[in-house]
Amino acid sequence: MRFNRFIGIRGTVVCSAATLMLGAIGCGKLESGANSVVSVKYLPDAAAAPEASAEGTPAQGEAATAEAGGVGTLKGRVVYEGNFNPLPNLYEKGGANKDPSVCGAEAIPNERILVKNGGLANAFIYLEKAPKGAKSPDVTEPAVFDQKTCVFLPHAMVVRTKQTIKVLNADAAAHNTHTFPGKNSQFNSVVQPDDRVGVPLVYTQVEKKPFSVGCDIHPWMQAYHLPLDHSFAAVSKDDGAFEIKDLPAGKHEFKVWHEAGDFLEKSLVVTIKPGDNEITISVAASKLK
Amino acid sequence: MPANEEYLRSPKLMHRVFCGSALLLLLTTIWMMWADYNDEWRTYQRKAFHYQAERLKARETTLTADKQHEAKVKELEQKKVDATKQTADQLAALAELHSKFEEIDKDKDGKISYEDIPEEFKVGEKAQKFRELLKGDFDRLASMNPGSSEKLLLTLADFPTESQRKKAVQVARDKESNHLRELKLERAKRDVARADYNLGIRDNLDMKALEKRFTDAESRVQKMEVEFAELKLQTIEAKMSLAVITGALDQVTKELVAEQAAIGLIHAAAAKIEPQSGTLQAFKRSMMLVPIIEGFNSPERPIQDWMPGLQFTLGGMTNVARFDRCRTCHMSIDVVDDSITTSVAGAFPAGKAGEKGKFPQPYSSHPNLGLYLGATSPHPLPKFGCTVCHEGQGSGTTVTNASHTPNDPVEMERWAKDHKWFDNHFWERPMLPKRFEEASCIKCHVNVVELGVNEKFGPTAPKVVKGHDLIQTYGCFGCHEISGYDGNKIIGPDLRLEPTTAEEAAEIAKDPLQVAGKLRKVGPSLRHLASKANSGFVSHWTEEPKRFRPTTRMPQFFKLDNQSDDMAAKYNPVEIAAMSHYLLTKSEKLDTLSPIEGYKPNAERGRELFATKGCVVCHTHQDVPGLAAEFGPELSKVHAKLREGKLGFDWLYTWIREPERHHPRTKMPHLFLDGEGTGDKYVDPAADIAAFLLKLEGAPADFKPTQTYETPEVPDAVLDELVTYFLMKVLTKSQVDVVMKTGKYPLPASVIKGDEIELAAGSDEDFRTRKMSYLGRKTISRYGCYGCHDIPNFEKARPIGTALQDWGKKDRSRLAFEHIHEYLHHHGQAGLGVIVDTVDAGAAARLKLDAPRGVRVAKAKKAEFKTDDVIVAIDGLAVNSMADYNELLDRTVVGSNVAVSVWRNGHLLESPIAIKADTSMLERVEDGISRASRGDITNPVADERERSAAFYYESLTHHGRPGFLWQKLRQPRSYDYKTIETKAYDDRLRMPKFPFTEEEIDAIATFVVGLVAEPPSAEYLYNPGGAKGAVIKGERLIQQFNCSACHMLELPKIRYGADLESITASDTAVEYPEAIALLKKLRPVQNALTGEMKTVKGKSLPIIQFHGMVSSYPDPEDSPDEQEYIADSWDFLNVAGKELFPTSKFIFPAANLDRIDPARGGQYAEWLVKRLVANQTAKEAGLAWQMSPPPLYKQGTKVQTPWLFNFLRNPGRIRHTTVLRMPKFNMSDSDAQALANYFAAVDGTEFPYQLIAEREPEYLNEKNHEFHTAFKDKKEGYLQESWKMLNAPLCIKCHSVAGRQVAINDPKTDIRGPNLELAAERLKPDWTLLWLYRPNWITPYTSMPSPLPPQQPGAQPRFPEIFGGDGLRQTISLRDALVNYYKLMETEGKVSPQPQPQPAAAGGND
Repeated sequence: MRFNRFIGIRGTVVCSAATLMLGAIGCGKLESGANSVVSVKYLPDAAAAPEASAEGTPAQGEAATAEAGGVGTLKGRVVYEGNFNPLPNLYEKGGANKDPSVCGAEAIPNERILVKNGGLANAFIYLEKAPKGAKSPDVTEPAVFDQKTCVFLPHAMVVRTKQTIKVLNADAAAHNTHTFPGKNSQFNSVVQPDDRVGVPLVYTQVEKKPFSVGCDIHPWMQAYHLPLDHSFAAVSKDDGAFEIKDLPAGKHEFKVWHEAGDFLEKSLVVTIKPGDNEITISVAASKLK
Repeated sequence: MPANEEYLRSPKLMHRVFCGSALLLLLTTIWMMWADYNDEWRTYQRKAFHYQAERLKARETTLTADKQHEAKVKELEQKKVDATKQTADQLAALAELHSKFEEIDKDKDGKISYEDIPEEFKVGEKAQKFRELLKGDFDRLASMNPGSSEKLLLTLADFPTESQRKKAVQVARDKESNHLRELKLERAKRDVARADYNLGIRDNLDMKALEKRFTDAESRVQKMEVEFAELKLQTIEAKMSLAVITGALDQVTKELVAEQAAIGLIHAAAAKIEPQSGTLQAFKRSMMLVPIIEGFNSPERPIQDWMPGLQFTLGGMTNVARFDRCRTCHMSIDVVDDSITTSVAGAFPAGKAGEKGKFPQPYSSHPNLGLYLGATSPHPLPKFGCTVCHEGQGSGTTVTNASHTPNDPVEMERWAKDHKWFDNHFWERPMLPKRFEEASCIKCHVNVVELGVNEKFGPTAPKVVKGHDLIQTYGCFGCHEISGYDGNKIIGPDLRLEPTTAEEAAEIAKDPLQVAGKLRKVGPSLRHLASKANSGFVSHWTEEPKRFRPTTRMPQFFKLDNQSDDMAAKYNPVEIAAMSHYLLTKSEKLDTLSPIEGYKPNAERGRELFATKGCVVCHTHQDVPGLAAEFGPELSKVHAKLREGKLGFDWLYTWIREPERHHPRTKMPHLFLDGEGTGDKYVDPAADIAAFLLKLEGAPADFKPTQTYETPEVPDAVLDELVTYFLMKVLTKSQVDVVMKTGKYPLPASVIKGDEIELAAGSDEDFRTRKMSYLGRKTISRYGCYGCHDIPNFEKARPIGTALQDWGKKDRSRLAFEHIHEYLHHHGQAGLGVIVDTVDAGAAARLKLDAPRGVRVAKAKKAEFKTDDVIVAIDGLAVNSMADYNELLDRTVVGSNVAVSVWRNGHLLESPIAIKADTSMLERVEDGISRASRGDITNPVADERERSAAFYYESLTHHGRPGFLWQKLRQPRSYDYKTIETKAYDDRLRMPKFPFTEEEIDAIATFVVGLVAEPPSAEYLYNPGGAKGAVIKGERLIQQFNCSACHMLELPKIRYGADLESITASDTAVEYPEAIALLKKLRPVQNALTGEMKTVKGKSLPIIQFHGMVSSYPDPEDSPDEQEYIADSWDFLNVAGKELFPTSKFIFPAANLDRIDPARGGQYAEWLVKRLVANQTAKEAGLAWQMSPPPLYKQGTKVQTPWLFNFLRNPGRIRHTTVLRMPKFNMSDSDAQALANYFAAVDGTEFPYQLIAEREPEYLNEKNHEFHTAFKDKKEGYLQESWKMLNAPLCIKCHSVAGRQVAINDPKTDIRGPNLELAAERLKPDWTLLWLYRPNWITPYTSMPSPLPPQQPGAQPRFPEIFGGDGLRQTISLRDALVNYYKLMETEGKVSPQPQPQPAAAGGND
């Protein structure tokens, strides 16, 4: 549940007439339990039309491009293939030696591979680029990235470029949040003890894959961020489930990434039909190290 | 017959004879004049003049046709017309106004001045009327001269014509001066009155009258002073009135002239050289060129440069000043292209005849006018001339007379044909051929290094630097001293061994006329040889070092050309055995170290440590591929050479751990490989590395060398023969007989000076042992082994070879060429008797090779080879290309066996083919010349190789110095060809064969040819002091200690065509303005625009450049459109007005890349970073950088020089994140000082001392005052408050501070910063503050966060009780606490550990 707090975007909902007519899911209604609540506007994109149609993405001249095929929702689950022995905690309660009164208050879990009911958490499923003609609305509400008992919350998150991330600290010890992005500038800032106002962090560039975020004071702390300029991305929940909405019908190439296995799929082709689409992504245990 | 005239001679005949001889004389005179006139140089000058005129005319055309110029001229001309009209209008208006004035007041005598106009006409209603009366003339005039006062205009109206105005100025000036005269008189009167008044006081007179007199006089003066000021102003106004009307016209005329001046000048210059025919100028010029007349003031004439400060020795007798006439033919040599303003370029670029825009010699300009000849260059023409660098006969004015030297025989033949060139033997200093053009640099640049590394000009003489470096690396100076001093006067580069003993060093230091050498012996010390190797290996190694280690630098002394006879075959093994006997018996005991009892070294871990502890920086090992380090020896076979068992292991362990135990002057540094961990986790890196190198699996005692060596047999008869032979030179026949029979030497040990002491010494040793020692010592003396190695009893031995400091002018008759010509006829070329070609992909497939490598035998002349054999290795070294093949063959010993690995019929032959590498040098040269002159050799490297060989061969056959040297280095013993039969055994040549390639020999020759020991006068010698000198000294040491292998000294330079729109300036709003100001001070803003353009996809983009690191390269999996580079800039940049802080990221498409200049140094660091990321020691590249040797970018702005000195002498641990430590080099104090100074000098900072102002009372008082003003309720001082800040729960998170140790969870992953105690002495205050503001501005990859950056409104306050939570004050206070750390530790003391923060205290500041 905790992802919702950070990824759920309660921004303005824009629905074009065309999408309304087709009864696209997610318009006009906010779902609180979803991974990500967005609706997407399809813009006429004359220039992109010919090639886009070749790829199977909806694109038809002047009218809203989604008209041609409608939009669908991708609901899926990332499944761990094999027997999973939960990874031992990084530190047991009281085991962390740095700021022991804070970090030692709870055991520090190893979140590298988390499996629940056979589902793999914290996998990123995303499109590298928004489908032609699809424009996700801007998000105005800031995302929240918190640190509690020397663990990052959430462990993995997709954010939007130019979206403000409030880096908070719920601990009574200072953290320094240090990002290692590819294209964005590094962020390395001290976040004071119990800072509930937060230090703002903004990514300006789209990244090709998630990158790690750490804390140099508490080197075991680890999280992953992926800034994108669109909303067609999700992080698998505790049980491996994820949902991506408002995908134009047609073929899409998804990337699936996990911290323990890098790219699990570099090009997962899914054909989206209007309405709900189900998918299961199997990950062999040997792929995760 | 009467005895008249006719009786004696026939007048008729006489007349004819007379007439004939007169005619003959006339013709001879004319011929003489013609010959005198018809000089070779005239042809060149005429053509040069023609080229110059052509260029000027072309420039005139371009400039005239230039659109911008055209437009500008047009505009100015229009302006001129306008201005002229305006002036005329104004004059007319003036005249009109004037006449109106006259009408107004006819009573006046034609003049109206401003004062004359009634006041009411000036302002108000009447003024309006006045203006009306003037019918707008006045306003018109005013509008024409904006800014002029009404009064001035009225004055103008008084004087409508220029002459009137001039006169008015004159009148005003007269008035002024007349008035001044009167004023002066009045002043004098007043002064008298004052004096009288003063006297009156003294004489007690009636003061009233006197006072009145003074007051009157004073008031008169005052009044007149005011009037005078008024008159002065009037003069100025009158002057202004002169300019005001015609000012605009004057200005525009001036501009027009200036615009056309450049063209005018060019036109005039062109007309002077090539006047238009038919003009007077043309006639004048043709007259000046008429023979005889041209002797007076002709444009064609010899041009000479006289350099009285640059002398040379003429014929070995007298010193004369240089007198260069080179410019007589090379007229345009120093002509700068003045149409380019951004850089210095020649107006006549050099090139081949017929190339467009290029000029052949002698018409071209010098290719590097920025460095040579140019007025702003360091070598301006009038001061340096030509021959000081190029040599040759400066006074000569023909190709041959000037002693030009062709670069190769191909060129020589062409010159002989075109210029009737011949080798002029009578000029001792012929011009240096192109290949030696850098040789002269070292006459003045005696330090050499600045010719290789130069901030301003780049590597200016790389070849001579290479030669110099090779001599240093291979230790030639061990035998051939190159003394740079004559007494204490500098005469050239200095390459000499340092004093071996402390006594010798002290003695030299005392003598003012001696300067000690500075270089260490290049070979390892043999003082403790017995603890390392046994006699079998020593003999095996000495006989042929490369047999054991193909890459060794040790030269080969045996199995060479002059040792192939029976005598050598008999004697050499005995000599070798005696030598190793000597070295091992004289070897001194070494106190070796051992790992702790029971430690089991781990070879696998040792391999990783070999990589991460820095061994690979200097050494290569086949099991740790990646870096091809050549600084130290290759170590793949160490396990095959050391002594068996614990002895060998301990020796290696000791050497790795404390190399200075083995030799106090070794180059191998102390790496601080101390044991780490405790109990089961104890790791002894040195032991592990030793185990890896020894391929050890068990305990140290189990070590067994993988190879055994037989100790050579020494037949007694041969030993005696040799001992007798050498003894005969010092003793009589009968004495020798006695010694050999009884074993008793006739003299006591105390009087024996030579090697014979071995025979006398140690009566307890048996005679055979003593004979062996004697022969061994004798052999070492003869071959000069001690030139490179430290050997017991040879501490005072002198170098055995010829000194080389003046070899470049050595008399050629003193070089022993012997039968070299005959030798080279039949031998001298290391060939295999095959013709080979490159293996391309097709051939590789056909021959079943896995990849194109090796060379294919195209034609086999010897039975050992077959066509289609592929030669894949020679003497154990891989052949990957033709270049490798040639190079490896060059390095082999001609006439000796070479092991050739061959790929035949799809598989490698089991054993290499052993074949004698020997063919005819002459054949090679002849073949090379003919192919080169036909242009058959397409590869420029191969072409130059053949031309070069031909050049040296030609030189050798004509008894030239370069040729002699070349052959001496290729085949040192070949000069003994057919002479050993007639010379004594010990007279044979002893120079060993070094593994040089021909290119390397060429570089060494360039250096040695330049050693002429002719010091220029002091003003020419480049041996600067100050910062420049510090840089030179430092560069030399950086090379010596291989600093740049680990550390980047300059970051890579990235250049690309940028879309300027897409670049966004850094956000200055989120930084403290003080921080930005400090950044600008320490890292001055660099202009990123280069001024060059790059065309990408048809768009022309400006190229920007910056220093930084590429963090991401194009991914080949991406589509070409998406491939991009990501680079971090380390510079503070200005990109077309946008300022970008360091750390800015530049993301650009791969196609936009112009180029990336690699970093200077730091190859190991880059390699290590990749390795640490690959093996997951580091999670991110940034973290891996923190584990690796840091780049030393702008180090001078960072550390205090005295600290750096101490650190270099004894490097302590600073960083805890690194996987290796800065090693301790055996550096002398002066070396450490020089290096510390270097870093300050390259960054232009003060050295060697720095004032720390932040520790001074002035600063602290000021801060205290400011602190108490701002925070009135604070009782404590500023520093106390700062100490609180430093000890707040912030720094302690990662740094140990104030006696508190940082908490460590896992030493492998924790980021632990340097102990803050170090900062006070180590860091410069400004740098420290900048670091505290924004650490990643200085080091982009650092883990250190900005501790207290500016906060956004509404943010949670930080430490509000310290400095009121003001981040800027807090940051500065951190710096001040660090700078005053010791004082504060003293006064405030250790801070007791913090109480554990209470989680409940939310919102507080723990």
